[in-house]
Formats: sequence, structure tokens, C-alpha cells
Amino acid sequence: MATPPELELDCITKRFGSNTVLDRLSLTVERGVSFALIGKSGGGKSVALKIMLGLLPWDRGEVRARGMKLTQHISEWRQSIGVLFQGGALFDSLPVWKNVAFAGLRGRERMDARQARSKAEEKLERVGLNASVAGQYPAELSGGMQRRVGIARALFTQPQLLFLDEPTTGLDPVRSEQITTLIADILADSSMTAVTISHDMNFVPRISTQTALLDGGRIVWQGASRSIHEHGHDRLGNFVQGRRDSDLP
Amino acid sequence: MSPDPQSVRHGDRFLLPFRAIGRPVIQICRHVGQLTVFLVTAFRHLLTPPYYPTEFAQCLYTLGFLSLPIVGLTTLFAGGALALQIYTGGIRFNAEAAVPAIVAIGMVRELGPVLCGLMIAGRSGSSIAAELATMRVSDQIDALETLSIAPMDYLVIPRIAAATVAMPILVGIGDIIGILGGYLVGIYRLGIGEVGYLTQSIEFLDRADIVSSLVKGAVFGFIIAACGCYCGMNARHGARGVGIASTSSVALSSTLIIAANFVLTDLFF
Repeated sequence: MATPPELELDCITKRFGSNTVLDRLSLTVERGVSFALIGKSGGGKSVALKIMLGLLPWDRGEVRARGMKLTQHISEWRQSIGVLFQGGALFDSLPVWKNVAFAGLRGRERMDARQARSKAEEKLERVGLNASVAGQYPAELSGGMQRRVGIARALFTQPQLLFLDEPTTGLDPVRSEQITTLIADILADSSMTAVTISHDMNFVPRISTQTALLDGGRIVWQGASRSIHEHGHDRLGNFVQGRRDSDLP
Repeated sequence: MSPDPQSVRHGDRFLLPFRAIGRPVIQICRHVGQLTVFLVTAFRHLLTPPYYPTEFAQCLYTLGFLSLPIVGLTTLFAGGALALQIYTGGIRFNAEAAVPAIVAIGMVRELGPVLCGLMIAGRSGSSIAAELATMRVSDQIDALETLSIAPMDYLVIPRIAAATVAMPILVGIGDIIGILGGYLVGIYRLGIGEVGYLTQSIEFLDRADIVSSLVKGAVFGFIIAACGCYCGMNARHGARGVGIASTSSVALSSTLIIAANFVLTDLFF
């Protein structure tokens, strides 16, 4: 029997009042694939991500995780994923190591503090931060460092699927490059499936193998990430080159 | 056939007052419904593990211990002012001797719990709402959920439980300090005898007065934390949303405290 895909969105419709944000959106993420969802701001990427994470209910359609309905297996599903939120979403009141080890300290496992700290420091090292930042608070770190801590937190439970929400947004070119290289290395070193939401066209081809363009609540283009700069498709070309759709010939 | 635009405008004008009344009524009903669902969900989470004792202890410290100075100062001055007012009123019909008893009963039955409730609503209720609202708008609550931690268990229950436990203690301390305020004014300003003041204060206080004070404290604590958590968890729209959550929490909890105080007073009457 064939292995079911890691994640499937089947004809998902999501409305906010009279505004249809996702219009029968369908996409499939196969296991081991690094998938990127691109699109302009306000195009529904973040809504799609929240639906994939089970944080937002949808109006129509079905989401399946490893062949099972997401709504019925949300708890198991969340045990197997890691998420890097836009901006990090670190807990301000906790030091860095407790942020990283949060799932271990407060989750089902309830790890011993010493063991959790040691594992957190190991993960911090993996993302290029030394143990000296472990005792600092998120507000004391730069944007790039916060993003690294967010990645370390996402990796803490050794997830099968990693979600990355705009990992390079708001960073200067140097830090953006560092984060891109780090994520590319992490994905290359593991067999993790990854779903990335981004509009950074330099970042996407380096960390993903498949890309889909979301526009008007639907996937309007899907293909290999390395081909996104080839502009074979009008809307993709416009998006990549920063033109409006009204500029279409 | 399309409707005559003139008649549509006329119809709109006719409906205007109904809309002006209907919109807020619908909004109030929606909030009451959402708050009810929120409280039922919180109650369900309260009865089922996991529990977070460290967070509970931390909330108890922040909501309870750190609120002591504000409670102490407020009730001290309120007790003093109450003694002065009762003396001024009482002297008109030679009832100035009733100052200690009325200060004690007034502080314990009414002023202590209500003042503490309103002060804590301003101090801790707004802080709960602002903290949770900031967590909501910066995706920290979503992050909690994806880490398999229920925000209800981790954020809401410890705060509600801590406020419900801490408030009766604060009210009890506030009552004592309020009576002390009245005592200081009575002795040093009004010239009432030291021993007589204390004896009267204690003699006139009934056990039911103390029980009603502490029960009110617990109910007000629950209201403050529940309103703070509800407004914070439902915050939207960035920094503005955090401000709205904080203000709404204080307004809602203060109103509910005054209303609950009437209901409880009537019950204990």
C-alpha cells in the first residue's frame, strides 16, 4: 500500500464575512519534500498555514495529515510537527533555554530541568548560538538570533514535519542569508518534510524543492522551485519580478 | 424593476434608530454568549489535568503578594476617611460613639471587598488582559497550541485559580488595615478612647460579616481574572488590540464587581 502524503488540503474554502480568502484550495505535500507556498501579502498564505496547523477552522473541504482527518488526530499531529512563526513568537517571560525546551518542560514528557537545559543548549548550538545565550531573555537578542532560537524550539522535539512562516521577513540581507543557509543545512541533513510560507524569491529556491503560487485563494502555479525564475507563467513571472497582474500583456 | 433610490434612502433613515439600538444589543448578546462559552470551557479545563502548579504559584505571587501595597494604602486611607465621615454625621444626633462599630462593619461588609476588587481590577485585571493580548497578537498563543499545550490550561486556569485564592486573603488584610485606618483617625484625630475603640470594633463584628467579606473577595477575584483572560485571549489588531483588551477588561470587571456586590449583599442580608 502506498504511503499517504504528509499533508493534503482538499478543496479548502475559508471565508471571513463576505471575503473569500481561500477558494477551493487543494495541495499535497509528499513525505520528505520541502514545499514552499509563495504569494503576495494578504493572498491567504498565513490563513492556509493556520489551517494546516489546526489553528483556524475552515468552512468547506478537508485537511488530511498522513491520510487521517486532521480534526480527529490534531493532538498526535501536533506532537510530530515543529513550527517557526513569523518573528519567532518566543515567550517573553521565559529565558531562551526554557523557550527552546518548552515542549519538554511543559508538554507530556515533563523533562527534568537539567536534562531539558542540556538538550536545549545542544539545539542552540545546532542553530549557531552558543550556550551563553541560554540564560538570556528573548528581548535581549537581535531579530536574527530570535529567529534562530525559534528554529531551535521547532527542532527540539525532532519533528517529522517542519513549518516555517516567513523565516527571513524583517531581517537585513546579511542575517537573511545566514538564516537561509542555516535552514538549507538543517533540511539537507535530515529527512524532514518542510512547508515554508514566504515571499522571498531568493530564499525559496534554496530551501525548497517544490513551490506553489497562491493567488486569489487558489494555487495558480505549481512546479519545481528551481524553475521559479524561468518565468514561463504570466502570474508567476509578475510575482517574481514584482509587477502587478494588471500589467499582464 | 430596481427599487427607487429615494425610497431606499427614506427607508434607511426610518431604520436608523432601530439600527442604533440593535447593533449594541446584538454585540452585548454576542459578548455574553462568548463569555459564557469561555467560562464553561475554563471550568471543563479546571476539572481535567494537566495542571501547572509553577504557573499557579507565580500568578499567586504576582496577583496576591505584589498587590499588598496598593490594597494596604487604599484601605488604610478609606478606613480613616470613613471614620471622619461617620463622626461628622454621627455628631448631629449624638451617635459619635458608633464610629468604631460602623467603621468595622462598613469596612468588612462593603468597603473592603469592593475597594480591593476595584483596585485589583485596575492593577492585575488590566495586566492579565494586556499580557495575554500581547501573547495573542504576537502569535505566542498559537505557538503554545502547536507545542501541544492548551492555552486554557497553561494561561487561563492558573490566573483564575490564583485570583480566586488570593483575593479573599487580600480582602481580609484590607479589612484589618481599613479598621486600623479608622482606629488611627479615631484615636489621634477624634479623641476616642483606645481600648473602647478596639472593644467596640470587635464586639460589633459578626462571623457572618467576615464570611460575607471573604466570599465577596473570592467572587471578585474570579470575575477579575476571568474578564482579564477573556479580553486578553480574544484580542485582535496589534498594539491597538492590546489597549482595547486592557481597557475592556477593567471596565467589564469593575461593572461586574459592582453588580455582583449588590447580588451578594442581598444574599447575605
